[in-house]
Amino acid sequence: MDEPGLPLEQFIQALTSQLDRAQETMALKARAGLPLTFAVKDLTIDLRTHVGMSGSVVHIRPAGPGDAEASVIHLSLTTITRPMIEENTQSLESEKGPSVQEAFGDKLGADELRRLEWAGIRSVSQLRELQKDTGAEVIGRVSQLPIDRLRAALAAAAAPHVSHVVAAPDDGAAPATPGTPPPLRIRGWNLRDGGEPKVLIGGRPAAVLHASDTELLVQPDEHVAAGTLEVRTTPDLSVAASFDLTEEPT
Amino acid sequence: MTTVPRLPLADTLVGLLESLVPERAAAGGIRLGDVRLALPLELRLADDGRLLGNVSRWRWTTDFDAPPSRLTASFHAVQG
Repeated sequence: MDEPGLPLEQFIQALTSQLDRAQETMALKARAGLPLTFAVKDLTIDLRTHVGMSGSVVHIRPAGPGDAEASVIHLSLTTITRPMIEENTQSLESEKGPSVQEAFGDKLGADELRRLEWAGIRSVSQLRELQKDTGAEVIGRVSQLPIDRLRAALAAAAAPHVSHVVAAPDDGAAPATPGTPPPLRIRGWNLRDGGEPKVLIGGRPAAVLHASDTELLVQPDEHVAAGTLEVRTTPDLSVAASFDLTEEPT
Repeated sequence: MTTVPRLPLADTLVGLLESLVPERAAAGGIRLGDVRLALPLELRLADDGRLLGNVSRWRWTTDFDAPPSRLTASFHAVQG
């Protein structure tokens, strides 16, 4: 059987990493006293290779001896300015919350996650926004994901998730009243769905001092070092998580 | 028989450019401004994921050699 070769994405990452390294080495030599050095302006590579698909991954296999029929991939790279970087990464900054990989790594296969990324969906918040705007059918058509798998992923995407719980430091975020235990900061995603979430710590309701999609600041009515908590964002969406404040934060 | 070590692409590029900078380039009246390279290049990905890029070895190529890819790059000289 023919070897599938190397994912094209991996080749491009290896190429850009080598160019970064060349640029850093030349800059270092200039700082070390070399009177003249070079900055990369642009670079093109005509790569003689065979191109194939394995699932949704584009693979390349370098042309071998006597391979007159190999394809040529023309890669052209150029340096860009900081404003251009910022312009191109703006969408990444606006991606709040977990990536689809973090949220669905155990629910969707690598191939299905890649198809979502190809459709430009990298975060759960993007997926939910898109679902509200266009509906699951359109996302399924663009990403070529089976609609039932996508619906299951979207249902999972709507559920609240607690990633960790820490004691809130005395940073003025919560008014300190003598005798009251320190508030808790609950981090995760989908922690608020329109209205105020309800939080139970060890089965007892805790006051929510501040709520955002990714963080809740809650005031337990007694000091609890470890136990379980429940966050309910809507009558049918809740999550339970255990926590231990005595553990070192990771 | 000796084998020629295969270098990462970055080392090959830096080596090529360094050979173009005379020791006292900054002191002379005429300086190198831009450099444009157009080379046949043997590209291969090493087991550790680094991209190896080497100019052709100094010998006649045979039918047993893989066809090289081609690199075209331009660099702008900057004062150190």
